Amino acid sequence: MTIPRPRLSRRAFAGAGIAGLVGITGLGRRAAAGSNTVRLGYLYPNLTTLIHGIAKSIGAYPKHNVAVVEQRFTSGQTIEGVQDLWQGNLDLYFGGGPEIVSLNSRAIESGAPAPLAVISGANAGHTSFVLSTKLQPKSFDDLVGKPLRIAVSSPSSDHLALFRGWLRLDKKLTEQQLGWQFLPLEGADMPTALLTNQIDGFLHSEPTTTIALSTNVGHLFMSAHAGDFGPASPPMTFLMARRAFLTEHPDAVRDFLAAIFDANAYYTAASKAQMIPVISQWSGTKPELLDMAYPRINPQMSMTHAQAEKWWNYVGLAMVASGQVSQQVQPFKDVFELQYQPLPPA
Amino acid sequence: MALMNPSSVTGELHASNVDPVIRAVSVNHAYESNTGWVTALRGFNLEIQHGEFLCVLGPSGCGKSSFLRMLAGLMFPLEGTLLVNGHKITGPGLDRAIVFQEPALFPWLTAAENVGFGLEMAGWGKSAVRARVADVLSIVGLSEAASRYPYQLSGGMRQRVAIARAWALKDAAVLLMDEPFAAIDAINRVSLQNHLVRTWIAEPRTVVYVTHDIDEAVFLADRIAIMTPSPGRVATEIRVDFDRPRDRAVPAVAMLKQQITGIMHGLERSA
Amino acid sequence: MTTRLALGQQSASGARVLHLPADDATLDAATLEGYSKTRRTQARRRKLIRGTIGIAGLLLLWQAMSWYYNLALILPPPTVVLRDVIETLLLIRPQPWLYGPSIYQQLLASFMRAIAGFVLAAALAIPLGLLVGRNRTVREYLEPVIRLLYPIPGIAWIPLAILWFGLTDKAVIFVVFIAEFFAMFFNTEAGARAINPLLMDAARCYGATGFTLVRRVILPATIPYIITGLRIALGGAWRMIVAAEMLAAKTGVGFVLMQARYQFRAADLMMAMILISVVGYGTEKLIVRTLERKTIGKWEISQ
Repeated sequence: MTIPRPRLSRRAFAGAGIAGLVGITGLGRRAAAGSNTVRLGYLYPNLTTLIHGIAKSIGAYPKHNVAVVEQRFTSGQTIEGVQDLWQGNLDLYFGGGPEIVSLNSRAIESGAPAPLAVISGANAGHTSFVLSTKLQPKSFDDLVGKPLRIAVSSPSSDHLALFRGWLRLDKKLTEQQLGWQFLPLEGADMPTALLTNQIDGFLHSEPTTTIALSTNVGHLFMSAHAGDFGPASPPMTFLMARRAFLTEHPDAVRDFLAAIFDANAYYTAASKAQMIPVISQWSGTKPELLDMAYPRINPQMSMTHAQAEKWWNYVGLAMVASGQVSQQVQPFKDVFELQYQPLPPA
Repeated sequence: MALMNPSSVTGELHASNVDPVIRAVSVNHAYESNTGWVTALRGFNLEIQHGEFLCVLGPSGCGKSSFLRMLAGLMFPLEGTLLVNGHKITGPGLDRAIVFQEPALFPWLTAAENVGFGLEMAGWGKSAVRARVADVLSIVGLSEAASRYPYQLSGGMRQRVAIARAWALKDAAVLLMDEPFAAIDAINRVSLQNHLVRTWIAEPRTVVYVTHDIDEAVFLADRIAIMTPSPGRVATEIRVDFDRPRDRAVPAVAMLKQQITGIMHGLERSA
Repeated sequence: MTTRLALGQQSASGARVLHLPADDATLDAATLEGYSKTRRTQARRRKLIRGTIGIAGLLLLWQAMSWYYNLALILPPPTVVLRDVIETLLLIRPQPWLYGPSIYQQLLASFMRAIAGFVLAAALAIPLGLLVGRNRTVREYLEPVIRLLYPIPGIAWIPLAILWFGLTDKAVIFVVFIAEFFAMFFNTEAGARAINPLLMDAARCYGATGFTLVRRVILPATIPYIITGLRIALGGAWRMIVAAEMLAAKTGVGFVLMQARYQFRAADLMMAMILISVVGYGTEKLIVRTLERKTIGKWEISQ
């Protein structure tokens, strides 16, 4: 019987190694004396964390006096990232969503304060619901009650969470009434599984969606970007922080977010032709695919109170209803700390 | 020099006007070892008559076990002819029932099942097998061990079960025994030899018995074929006409032993 | 002969009678049977006590660690976990069961997959092992292939399994099959090769040939090795089930484990692990020990 061991030594060692490399490569040198250091974990290669790549490429971090020590996680490793954050091996973690609420809930249920907080989020509206080309329903209601097999990247996938929230609030249906099966599958395998008829559809984001569309194995049935999951979609990829770190180094956090917002501005101003090579390098996606996917890509990081509220109503409350999250959890006390963003006050 | 003893001969056991059960003609055999070719048998000739108990007596390494394995069909001579009832030996068969030096019983079968194994393979029906097995076990004196597994039996009893297994093959032309008691301690060996003789008296069969033990040969055999040391052949044959069961203490027996010992020493010196 | 004194009495020489002098007739079969029954009971009791102490020691260590580290989210104390196990098994959980069908259905799902993979593996590995062990031609054709496939760990087969069988039971069963096949095959082959040549001589001399030889001699002779192979395979199978279910299934204990992990429910996670251990142990006892009792237990072959 093995006990899950906190993986301190391996990650700490890697972190130390990266810190050493940072020192050698001179990232620290470029920053002014007395710069803040932030240990950031993020999913890579992955479109969802693109904004960090953009911030790096425009030199936003040294400009704001922040030294970023990176640690990458592959998709599917979000749980590890959240765990590393919680154990203090990271200060910030960029990736995933619902997992942090689960973790905070566990802490609160056992009488401890919530250890983590969501300080911002990116990729608003990047959820796509792709169906096999063999399935051409006229409306969503046609699919209710059919034994569909829908792939999601993991049981805690934010896309699944958004879908469930929308199902509950907008369609007023339960998952049982729906009768679908949600199967965990890696994003890269989804188009193949669609082709070989192992699934009937998937809930995921780019570039999986565009791959499925461009190879004609699937069609875009619903898109958050197009408002199919309700207006004002919330950002689905969270930037999380250790509360202890927020208390000890609030300025570092603010500087980090300021750098990110610089990247936001840069992205808005830049043209498609400018961005596609950058995106391609960061995510490993082919430029031709990015060209097709561009309208559905929205990497910018920003979360308003209203968006957080919508997220809580759609996703958070669904987790509470299913028992995954305790009713004791209060969103704006235990989950969201949005005041570190350089946003005008709500 | 053949020693003939004019005491009584049991007629039905030595019908010499019938063709011999086994004929070995000019058998030569050699095998390759690490140090080159070793000749095991050279010019080996022997005839075994129906119903007789023949001992092949020879020193270690003279090739006697090889000869027996050839009779069993487990080995084939390089040169020469081996016939059983006029047919060439092409492999193992139920017409020749063998007892090895180790009991070689199947550990997953009871004594009775072991004894009946050959009969089953021969296609006998269940009740026939059962009857014959019970018969043989009582002849051999092991009836109460019938439902025991080999591990529950002593070494001597296991060997007796092996002998029963061979004896059970009623239709076998000959029983082959390869020093079956060599691995048994001296005290039990005598009792096992007594058992064997009693069995043979109850149900006489043709037996080819290989041994290096002169006492044993004299006690058991109708005829002894004495082999030279390697490369082996039959140097001389001696008839043993004492009545069974034999008394080892009788002076005639002791004299015979002495004579055979002398012969074997002579063979060794001239090897 | 001395007159029999009662226990505790003093004899003429002044010695206190501690044992009644034995009659000649006391070592009869009934008495001996009584002695061996007593010995067996004592051995059973002793093993139970010592085993319990060992496990209790582990639990105490666990409790101490969870006090010291105070990380309820990673290492809940054994009291919490054991209560979770009991409540789950008795279906009286205060908190909702968030893992789909009931725990028994999940356990059954995993168990059925394990059995299916086990049966398939045995059906292929044992005959093949016997064949390769005894037949040089077959061995020279097949052994290189099998040895090449052997080092690939079961987990590495999972993506291929998903590709071939989809996210279904079949993929999990396939992975279990692969994991168990090699253990059973190599043990069977070793056993087939290790048969005492004299036994084979005896078998042939007493008329066993062809398929009868295999069924009546080679197979029983190889049973001790086969059982070892089965035992090893079963152990590996449970590990593979969990790993495979975590990736490819929507039911089963592996699935429950994965779900618990995603929700950071350490107590449920450990409960799943404990149940896996218990079911695995139970399966081994059921299948392997029963087979052992019926075969080498009876024949007492010492290997």
